[in-house]
Amino acid sequence: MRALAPLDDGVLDRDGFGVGYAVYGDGPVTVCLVMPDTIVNARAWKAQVPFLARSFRVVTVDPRGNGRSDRPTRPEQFAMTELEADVWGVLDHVGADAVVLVGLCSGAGLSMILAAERPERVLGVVAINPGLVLAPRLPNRLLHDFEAELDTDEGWARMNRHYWLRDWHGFAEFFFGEMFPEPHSTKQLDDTVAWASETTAEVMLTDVACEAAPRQVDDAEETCRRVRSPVLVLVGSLDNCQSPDRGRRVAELTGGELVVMEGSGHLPNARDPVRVNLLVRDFVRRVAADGWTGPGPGRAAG
Amino acid sequence: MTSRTWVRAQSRPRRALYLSSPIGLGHARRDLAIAQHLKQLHPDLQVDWLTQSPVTQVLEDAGEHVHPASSWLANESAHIEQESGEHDLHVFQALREMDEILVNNFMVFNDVVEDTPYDLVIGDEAWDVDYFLHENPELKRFSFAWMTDFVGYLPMPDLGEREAFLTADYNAEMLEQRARFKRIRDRQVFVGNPDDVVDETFGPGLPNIREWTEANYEFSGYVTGFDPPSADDVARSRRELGYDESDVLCVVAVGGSGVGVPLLRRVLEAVPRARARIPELRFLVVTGPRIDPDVLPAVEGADIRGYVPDLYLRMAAADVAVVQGGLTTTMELTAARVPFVFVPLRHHFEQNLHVRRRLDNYRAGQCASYAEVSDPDWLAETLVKLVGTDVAFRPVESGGAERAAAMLAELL
Repeated sequence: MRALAPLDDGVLDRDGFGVGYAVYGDGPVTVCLVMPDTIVNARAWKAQVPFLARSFRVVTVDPRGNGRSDRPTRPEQFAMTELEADVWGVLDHVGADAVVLVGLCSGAGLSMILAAERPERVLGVVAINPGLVLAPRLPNRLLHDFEAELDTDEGWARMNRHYWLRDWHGFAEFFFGEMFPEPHSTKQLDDTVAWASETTAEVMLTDVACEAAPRQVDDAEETCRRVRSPVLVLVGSLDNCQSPDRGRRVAELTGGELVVMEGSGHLPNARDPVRVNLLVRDFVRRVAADGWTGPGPGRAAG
Repeated sequence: MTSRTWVRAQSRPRRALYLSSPIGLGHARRDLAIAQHLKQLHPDLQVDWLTQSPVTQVLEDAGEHVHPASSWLANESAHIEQESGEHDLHVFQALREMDEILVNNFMVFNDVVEDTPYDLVIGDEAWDVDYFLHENPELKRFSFAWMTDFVGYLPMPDLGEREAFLTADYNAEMLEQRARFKRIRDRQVFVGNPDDVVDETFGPGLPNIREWTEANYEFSGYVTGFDPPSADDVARSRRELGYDESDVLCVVAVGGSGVGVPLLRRVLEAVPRARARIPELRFLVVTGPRIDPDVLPAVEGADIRGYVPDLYLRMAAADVAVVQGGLTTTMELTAARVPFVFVPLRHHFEQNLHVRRRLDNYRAGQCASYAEVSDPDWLAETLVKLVGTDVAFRPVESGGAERAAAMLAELL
């Protein structure tokens, strides 16, 4: 059973494309939780939502291709401008003007881009293991060619177009096994594999074909430099998805605060929810106290 | 303006926060009894309760102070009910699926102890608090007493290798937590005796549960939470219920959660056949606080009631009883020396393995499967045979609440 029921939830029609969203709690500050990308959905914030909703209004958005959002069939439906417009569209729809963004992996990258584009609407960003190309990819990603037909299905060879199409479930089990280096993560693994099963290899490959996120280091650095709001970066030292150096660079470039979670993997929100919850709550309180001007027009860009 | 008060340490009264497991009603009475003894040992002690329906109702009736933050807790009983099937509760999986509720409830707890400087936190099977304190030991700022009446997740045999792997993994995590952060539990009280602990392994390569529990826990003996009812109490209870000496009374109860409806229906189906054999037989069917009595059919010879206060006294007035396999109710019948049939929920490892072990120890009760009690002839025949039999139960020790309270009192 869900720990907390939403006050409002539904699917927003954005020019014919459905975007799933939910709103919990009615606090004076709005916190928007932005999940990575198609491989999971907003349920991945389940350990954060009820706690944060006691103090804040919490808005979640399902990524394109999972949860209650529609499944794209054309690469351009994954364009960064579309992903940005999904979040702004939901926030407009629920009447949230200035918000704190909390994102994970590519959702953290998206949050940084949102903050750079519309500084007047963003009070702060929490970036958990951010996926911005500010540092080289992890060595595991360089082992195999994603596009080639491989003669093995072992380990990171599963990060491969042909393997995805053959056995999407097998990929999800392997991938999230790597995402949870913390011992005794069976429940978190079961959950994430189940969420991955709500999408398909075909949808994921449509996303891959789009190449929406900035691919150039310069672009990603520029994005970070344009962010005016306070930034908190959480980095798992054992993250096998995003190089921890990327999070470190986000903090450097934004003058933000870096919290290294030693021994943590890619999804500390699921595996160490208590610490993540407290860090996020304290950050939101801090930036809301500094920057919150009450309902109405958002604060001016600093 | 905002205002806060800070009280100098030496000016503070002793304060304890009591967390009573809210799945069903099993722990309410024992925790209340322990708290009352604890207050006798420390008359200045203030006890706040952080718990949920249906336990809150019992506590408020007893004049206890339920912490207002209790209303922030997500309800565990409702979750368990949602996870259950027809007399079937895969309780280990239900606990796993309860993860977001446990995080939410721990965060509530953490806010409460951040706000109020409690000297002692008592967690009677407060799984969320025990688990997340071990995961976040820096959040411990009070003495912590852990209480439980079973140790170790056990796989149900028909659930296969995956279940065995998962239960062992959960047990291993607990053992690692205990080995690394002994300081989290200042006392560990097993509500029972060493013999009540299952003689099983925590899992492949892991310790024996009984040996480990004996080495790590203190034993309070069983805590019924009441003095054994006298013959006068029993007679008065029967009169209050409206039964004569000549009536033969069968009490049917399914604990405090809402899982028991199918069993109540099966018993009601057997009522006419049992009454055909013993016309004086009358059934008192107690649905508990979370089942609406109106969902059950009216049957001649059966009174159907909702929540009945002091159910242990009513059960003590019975000549025979049918209950689920929960520990509290079966032990209340054992203490009252009433012959009974107990029907563990399918796939409920605690009821099928841990409670079973303890009842075997007390030589109490007749275990029946749900398939057996679904045959009205079998059930009618069994009840008729049990009426008036001399029970050979081992007596249930008294003084458990005093012993447990004495252990906790040393932490104040």
